[in-house]
Amino acid sequence: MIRVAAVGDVHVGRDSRGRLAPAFETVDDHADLLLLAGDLTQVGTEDEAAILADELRGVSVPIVAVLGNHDLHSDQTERVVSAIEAAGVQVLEGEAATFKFDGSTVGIAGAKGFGGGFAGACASDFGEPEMKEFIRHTLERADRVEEALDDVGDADVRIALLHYAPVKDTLLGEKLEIYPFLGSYLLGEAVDRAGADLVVHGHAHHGTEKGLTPGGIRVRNVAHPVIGRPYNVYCLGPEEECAVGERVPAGSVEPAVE
Amino acid sequence: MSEPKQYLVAHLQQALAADERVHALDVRVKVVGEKVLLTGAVETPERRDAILDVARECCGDVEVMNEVSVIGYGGDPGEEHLP
Repeated sequence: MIRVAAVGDVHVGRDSRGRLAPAFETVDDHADLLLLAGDLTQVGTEDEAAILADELRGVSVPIVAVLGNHDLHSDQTERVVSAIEAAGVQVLEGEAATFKFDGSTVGIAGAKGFGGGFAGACASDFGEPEMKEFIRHTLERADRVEEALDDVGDADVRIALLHYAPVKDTLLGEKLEIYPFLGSYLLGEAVDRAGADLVVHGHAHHGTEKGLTPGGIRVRNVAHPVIGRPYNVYCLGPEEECAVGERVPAGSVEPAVE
Repeated sequence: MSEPKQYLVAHLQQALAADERVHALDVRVKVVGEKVLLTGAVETPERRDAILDVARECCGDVEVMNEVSVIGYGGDPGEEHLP
């Protein structure tokens, strides 16, 4: 059994200092692991990332994150990642992180993903160079998702952590016209090929929390405006073990893979 | 002749995304009667107020109704069991 806390789109800016820390300080009481599903900052500056790092310093459980489109806006990606990693956060892009909790292994495959739309209404690799570049970026990012899940191997629990949406279900509430900018079926297809127990994403602020890939994998949109809470906790395992008070203390965690 | 309100909506959405005071991509803008209505949610009260400033500058004489809410970090986390 593992409890995973997750939230995305916290959009930390210069006006965010002190606002998130009190909530994040409770993560250790509720979960074994914290996932951050991109758009960690408002405009992707090193200063904003440093503020986020300060807000996360009260969290003792492992933190794994992917970047979102906002985190790339200021072209300071390396410095943003370094500042966040200074707080002990693992920032993944086409990579896997694996942890062992009381004998069970949990693998997180992280990648930003990208847009392009969904089957029947999606962009094609055709026409102007800019259009081809757009969809090829999605194809490349979908490959990264699949490769990262392959790297997770035979972990007991396999989770894909994305920013963009892999299915339409969790976009319900968004305008149909912007679906191609919110996610891509290629991400869902990659996850279904590689296999996972859960997909967590953000990005779609007006969307819906719960969905399912065509292959039957649960999807959760944890964008902060969608869940309306500091974070959500997903308990993967037998129901009796997930009952309140049965949680294995987070102190037993150890990294399984560097 | 004043600008058609459909263009005003598009121009305001662009301004909200690009203006460094807000960079708000997820605020919904629509015309209701003679007013511009803003809805959605942002992370801080400062950003909600800045959105109104940008909108007023962009909309000129058109009245702006700011119904954008602020999402805080209070309350308990949600919990779900996934068998």
